[in-house]
Amino acid sequence: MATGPVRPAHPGGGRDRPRPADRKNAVKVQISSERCQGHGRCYDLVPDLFGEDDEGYSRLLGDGTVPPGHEREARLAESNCPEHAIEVLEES
Amino acid sequence: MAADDRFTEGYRDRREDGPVGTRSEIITGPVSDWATDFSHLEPEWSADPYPIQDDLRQRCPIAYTGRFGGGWLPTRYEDVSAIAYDTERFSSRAIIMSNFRPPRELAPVGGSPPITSDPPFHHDARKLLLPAFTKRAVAKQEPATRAFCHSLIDGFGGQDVVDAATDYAQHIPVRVIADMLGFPPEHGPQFREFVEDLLEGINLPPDDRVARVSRLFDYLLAQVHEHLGQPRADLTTYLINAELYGHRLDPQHVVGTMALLLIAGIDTTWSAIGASLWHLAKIPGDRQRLVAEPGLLPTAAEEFLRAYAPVTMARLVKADMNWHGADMKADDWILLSFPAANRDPAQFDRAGEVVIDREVNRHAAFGLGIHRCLGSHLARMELRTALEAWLERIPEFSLEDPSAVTWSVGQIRGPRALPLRIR
Repeated sequence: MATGPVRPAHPGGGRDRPRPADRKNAVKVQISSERCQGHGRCYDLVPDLFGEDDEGYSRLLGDGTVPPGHEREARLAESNCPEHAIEVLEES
Repeated sequence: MAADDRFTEGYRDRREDGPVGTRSEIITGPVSDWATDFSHLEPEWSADPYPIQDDLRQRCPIAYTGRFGGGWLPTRYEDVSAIAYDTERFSSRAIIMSNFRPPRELAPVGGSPPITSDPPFHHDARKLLLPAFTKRAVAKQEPATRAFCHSLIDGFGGQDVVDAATDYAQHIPVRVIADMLGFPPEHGPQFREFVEDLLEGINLPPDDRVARVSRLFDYLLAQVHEHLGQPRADLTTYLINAELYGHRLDPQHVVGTMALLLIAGIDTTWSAIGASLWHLAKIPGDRQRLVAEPGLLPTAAEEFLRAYAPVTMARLVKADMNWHGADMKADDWILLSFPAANRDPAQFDRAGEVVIDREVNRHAAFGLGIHRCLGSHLARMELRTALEAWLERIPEFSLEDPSAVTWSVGQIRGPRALPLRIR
């Protein structure tokens, strides 16, 4: 029985899993400070890319460029954020 | 510095001067139909709430009860998260579903800021506390927590059977929060009574309940006076000196926040540690794997938090409305079950199974939105440290008697008796 209507208030819900990284394109990651509530899943899981500020909110350690080979980690942080505050973007 | 006259005798009277709340009839006894008469205080729910929640999610995803003066129980992830985010329609002025509703005038501050606060006050009250509870700040407590866990295990001596709930799990958060608040660690047994009074005594007669809650506030006020006389580097002194909008905090705010930190920090983490050990005692394969692969422990701990989320919150409906098909009235309760959300198959693969290497785990054990558990980093540190120490010292253990395991009653769920055979 289907019990999972779309949740418009907070897109990105439902099942998700890390997508395979695309090695050709530069990958960037960004944090929505509006959504971040300081759960810290990202800086727990991927301390190379994310850190915490003085109040526990997440911040990017660099400019958001994901070093080649770390795309999967960026996706892992994205897919574990309870607030859907992290987005991994691919630039061609 | 002028003497602090905020916490004099008149403080308690001022607390009781304001508008009074409303009481509803206490209704106990077996539930006739969980969809129309649910109660999280009945033994069936305490023993195993998950089949009830799974059934409701299928046939009545927003259940109702006339108990507690009326309330609703959403069991789908999407409804739980929508309510957690919607602070316009749902107030945190009370977060324990009971037979007493505090007066509306108590909003937006509530009795124990910031957990009972609504915007915009909530943000400012929370901001005062955030720096003390960052991952970096709580990491400083880890060595002492680890040493304390080992000392508890040392204390098992040559016993073959120990109670992992009362001999181990419950002591860890008590010690940690007593250190942070600057309360004597030997008062631990009293704290556990306060927790029971506040969170489990929901259906007691009103006078009895008031008397029990007063004991907690008497204790906290005594601690404030201790700290006024002898300030130190702890959260109690910090709160006494803290300022908001250019003034020191109201005495109700200081003591209400102390109550929150003491109560919320204890049986939640105790429950998480106990439920995790219960699982590992029951499922030898998972236990053996974690002993063999200690690096998997943080991932497994997240899965235990998802599957056995200890904390359910409550909200009060602000005004009459039809919400997702439910005819809600002002001051109806919402029992905001993060445990039910965490087992919604629409959100999680194999939602009803415990998968200790679950890689993607967007669980809501610490809530969602502006009320994300302030102590989540502390809780995670305690849970991981407690499990690491236990597995290192006691790699082989099993349930001594599954029928002797008992679970707490109310919104915080975890084992309260957990006899384990450890050799």
